[in-house]
Amino acid sequence: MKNTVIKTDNELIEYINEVGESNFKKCFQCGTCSAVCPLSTEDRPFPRKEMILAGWGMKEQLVSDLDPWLCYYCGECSKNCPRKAEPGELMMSLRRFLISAYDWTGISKILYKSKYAEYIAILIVALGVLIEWAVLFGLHPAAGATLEQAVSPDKIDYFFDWPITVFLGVMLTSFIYNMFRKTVLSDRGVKIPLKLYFTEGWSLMFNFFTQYRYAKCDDSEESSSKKLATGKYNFWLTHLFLVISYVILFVGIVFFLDWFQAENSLPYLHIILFDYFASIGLIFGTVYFVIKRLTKKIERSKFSHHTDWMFVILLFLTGVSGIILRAAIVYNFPVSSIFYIYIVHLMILFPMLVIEVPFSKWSHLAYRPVAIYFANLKEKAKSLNNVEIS
Amino acid sequence: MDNNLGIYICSGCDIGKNLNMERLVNTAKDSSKPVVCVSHEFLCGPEGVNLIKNDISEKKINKLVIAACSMRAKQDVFNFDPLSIHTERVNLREHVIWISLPNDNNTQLLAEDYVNMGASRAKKAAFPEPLIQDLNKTVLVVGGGVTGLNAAINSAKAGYDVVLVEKKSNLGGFPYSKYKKWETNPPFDKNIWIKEGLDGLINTVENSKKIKIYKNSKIKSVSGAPGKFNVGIEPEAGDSKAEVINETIGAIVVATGWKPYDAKKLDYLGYGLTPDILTNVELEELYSELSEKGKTESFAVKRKSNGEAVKSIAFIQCAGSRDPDHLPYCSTVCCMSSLKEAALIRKNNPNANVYIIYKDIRTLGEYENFYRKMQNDEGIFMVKGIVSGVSYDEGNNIIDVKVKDTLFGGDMDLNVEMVVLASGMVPNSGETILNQDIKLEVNAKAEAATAGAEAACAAVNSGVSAQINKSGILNLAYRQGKEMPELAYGFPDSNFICFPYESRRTGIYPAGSVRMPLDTVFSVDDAKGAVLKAVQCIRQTSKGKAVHPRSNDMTYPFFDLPRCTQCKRCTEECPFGAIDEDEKGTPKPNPERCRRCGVCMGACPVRIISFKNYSPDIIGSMIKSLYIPEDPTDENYRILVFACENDAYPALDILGLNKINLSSNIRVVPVRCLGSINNVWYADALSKGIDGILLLGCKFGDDYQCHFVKGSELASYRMINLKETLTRLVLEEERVRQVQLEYTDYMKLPEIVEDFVSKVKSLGPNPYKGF
Repeated sequence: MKNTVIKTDNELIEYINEVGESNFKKCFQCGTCSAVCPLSTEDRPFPRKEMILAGWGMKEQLVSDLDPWLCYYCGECSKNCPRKAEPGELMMSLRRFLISAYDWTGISKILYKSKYAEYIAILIVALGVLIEWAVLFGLHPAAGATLEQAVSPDKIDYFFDWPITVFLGVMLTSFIYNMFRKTVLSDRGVKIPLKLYFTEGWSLMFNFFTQYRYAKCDDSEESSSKKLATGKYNFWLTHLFLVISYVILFVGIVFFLDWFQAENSLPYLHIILFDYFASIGLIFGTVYFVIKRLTKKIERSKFSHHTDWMFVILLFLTGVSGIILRAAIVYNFPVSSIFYIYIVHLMILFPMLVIEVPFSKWSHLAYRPVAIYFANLKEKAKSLNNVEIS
Repeated sequence: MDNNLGIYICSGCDIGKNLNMERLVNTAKDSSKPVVCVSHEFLCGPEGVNLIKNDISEKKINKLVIAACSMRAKQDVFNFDPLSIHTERVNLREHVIWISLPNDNNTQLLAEDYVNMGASRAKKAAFPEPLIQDLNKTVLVVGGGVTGLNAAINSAKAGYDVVLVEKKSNLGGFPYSKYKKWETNPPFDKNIWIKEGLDGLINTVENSKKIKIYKNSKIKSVSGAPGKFNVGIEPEAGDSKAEVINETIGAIVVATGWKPYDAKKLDYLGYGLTPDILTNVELEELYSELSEKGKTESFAVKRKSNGEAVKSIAFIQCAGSRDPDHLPYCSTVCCMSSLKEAALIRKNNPNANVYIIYKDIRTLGEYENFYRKMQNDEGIFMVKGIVSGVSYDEGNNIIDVKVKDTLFGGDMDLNVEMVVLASGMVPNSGETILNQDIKLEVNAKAEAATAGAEAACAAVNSGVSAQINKSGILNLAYRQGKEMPELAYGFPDSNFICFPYESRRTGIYPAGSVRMPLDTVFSVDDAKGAVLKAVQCIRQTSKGKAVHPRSNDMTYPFFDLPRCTQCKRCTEECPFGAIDEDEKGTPKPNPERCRRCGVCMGACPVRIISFKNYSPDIIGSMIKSLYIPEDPTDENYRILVFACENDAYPALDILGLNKINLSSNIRVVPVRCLGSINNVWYADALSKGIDGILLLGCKFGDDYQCHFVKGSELASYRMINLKETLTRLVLEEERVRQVQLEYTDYMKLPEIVEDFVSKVKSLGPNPYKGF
């Protein structure tokens, strides 16, 4: 940041103010936040650095900043801030800002700014699903038809599952590329050797499937078993349980839809994996987070943006409607009942996938591990460069 | 005058258990021949006090020696009319039994010496004859700004007539013509009209029957002394008919305020590059101009260069302040004033961004509220950093501000349309013009200072000489210069921690931002403080009593002028400029200006200066009353300690209170100030056979603690002179030592004393012992 001509972006400051409840302008840069942060390092003094960058509306520096993704909002900074400036909440706001910055369509920005925009978007998608369903299967099942006949899994695959997979794939890939461009390519100080992209690939997978940094949010010198016993890992483990359940269900629905609509050759695996593990994970996880957000007892659940609520509620309803649907199939409900439950389920599931995944809160599932991966790349590349110089 | 001496020795507080009271009484009787000499087990009790009172009325005792606790204790009990009864306190508790071995011969000798010293002092002391006069009780207030107006009102409220002199045609001072100021009451989070409040204040002053106002006027001269100052007031030049008006004044409050730091010296911050780089005062003027012109609050601040509304503006804090090359101090108001101006810019130019670059933001106390409010404004940006350069891009009409060491973690550039330099306040305490003669005098003194002891004294005074040239505010007709001497950086205080408002000119009290940088809120209180001092001065002086710090002292120095040799030492060394002189150099003392420190008495080589109860002769006879054993054993060494009454003496008391042993070789003589020690006392002591002399006094130098400013420093310079004399007498110069001591340093005393005693012992006994 050598002799940059400072450009303050007042609109950005306003936007950050709108999408969160941090009082970042109150910061007087004492640095307590970075000192107490268990994850912040000397080279990455977040959230202190972000506080002043946000206060001055320095867009260029903020867009290229990966650090908001490295924070898991343990809330130590907010607890200790002498000015009650809520640095933890600022990092949350910045994640919302970054999601809208990576999104070239501009939809995220609208959704984050207005809750009504989000309601309308969800309604539109739900209606679209209803119309598509009506075109494909009609609004009533034909009398005497089996489920296979009334709702063809092939058609669901062709007209619902695969298009959404392609849509999400294209969207997220382009957004992540955008992120890559802004955070890695734009940084002229670091040149990353091609080999590193592959050798560091493990961190992407490792962080996605373990969310290990969550565990590091508590840096007290207790043993892991003690932390586990005293509930210090509860949030992390619940989150992990929820994510894995979600991934299992998503993969299952998109690629093995047959399993959900009918009994098949591997019933036990199906029952254990989907009926118990994933369903419990989804319901337990969402209920846990809703309770946390309602009681506001811990720092990271103190403030809830409308997108936070929408995401967790949609996820919960998706889970509930999915379980009812599955139960209806297993216990041989009348086809006509299953038919309607199916519609409702899709009208909840698809808005969540179309709106929340690329444009809203869900996307952190993609950005977080990617950001850690990018940060690792840059750090490794820097140390390699330093070795070469010395 | 009858000398009816009564010696009362208290045996309470364990004094009787640690000393042989019978022997003490008998020794006192033998050596002092008192009318009464008794011991009592509870002297400060009603029975003890009645005993003394009965003796006073029946046996006509008029010289009391109360040998009990420290003179700092029980002052309310041993309180007899000072005009007819001399009360001498001998400290047997703190300075004898609490610091010495119980029932030891050396302890007994120490107590006997102290009683003898007290008795000889009491015998020689005369009763004070206070200079009671019918003096003028008018308060002169110089300057009609916020401080001056408040000083005038408060003096009038206290019942004193006031003369207010203002150089401008209107009252209200610096702020009057300005636009807005920050709130003067909690919560201090918004701006208010300056004239609101100030107008009311001016009205009150102008309508007060007790306040006489001279506008467009200056002080031509001030002569005289508190209670009888003769002040010449000169109306503005140009009016040829105007004559100097003379007013008699009791005390003076100087509220001449401040002036902005010379902006030309801020060229390193770009001042002068473009009219868009201005000082905070110039921005204030721009505001008042704009608001006056349109008689409205809705105006936009425009760039001077092209007349367009300002869209970005940077404030550079500490411009030329807290900088050893410019003003080394903080002016305290610039942070608040920049925040205020930032708020105004945001209000008048809503689309403008305001950047504030600071070293530290100092918004004291509740002013923090204002800072917090401004901090939350999304158009105000504050960053800590040091401005390393300001340049002007003429083509784009943009000012580039380079800032280093920022909290962004590096250097940065700000491109703005306007830059405001938040520069500091300079006290309006007179202009220094060094003419050739004075330069020569100062140089000669500086040269001489390096040469030798005699000149060292002169070097102390060269500071005074340099100030002789300051003039323009009070124009005092004093021998030591026309204005109040400054403490530092032009501020004419004398010691602003211990005695605020006390300048080094008795009866003249600086207040407001001439005393220290203050804003209007603090100036209001400052005015009250200075008025209280002025009132105190008027009342005390007319009763013939000293003002601070020897409040209520009714003695004053007597000059036996026929014996004067016109050496001018007293007139040069008086820390308070109390002594004028005639053409021949004969001192013309002004007792009303005197603080009774005795520095003149210490300076006088022919010993013609004395107080009724404190003189070279009185202290000399105390020293002569000491018993000096001739047997050269360790415990028979005698060390005389001159202890400053203000710090060293109480430090010894505290040591006693902590019951920490001290060598019983020492004999403590309290002095008003080390500056009052006359060299003859050294001669008295050494010829008597004293082996060493220790001076315990206050810290001197830039952070001096001497109540009389220069006393301890002068003592140390005079000692250089003394040491030459000692060498001539074949006495080791190490036999005399001065130690600087703070009140809180009492724990260092055992080491200080032990160190000196062992040094003297290593030199051997005084060879003049027994002569």
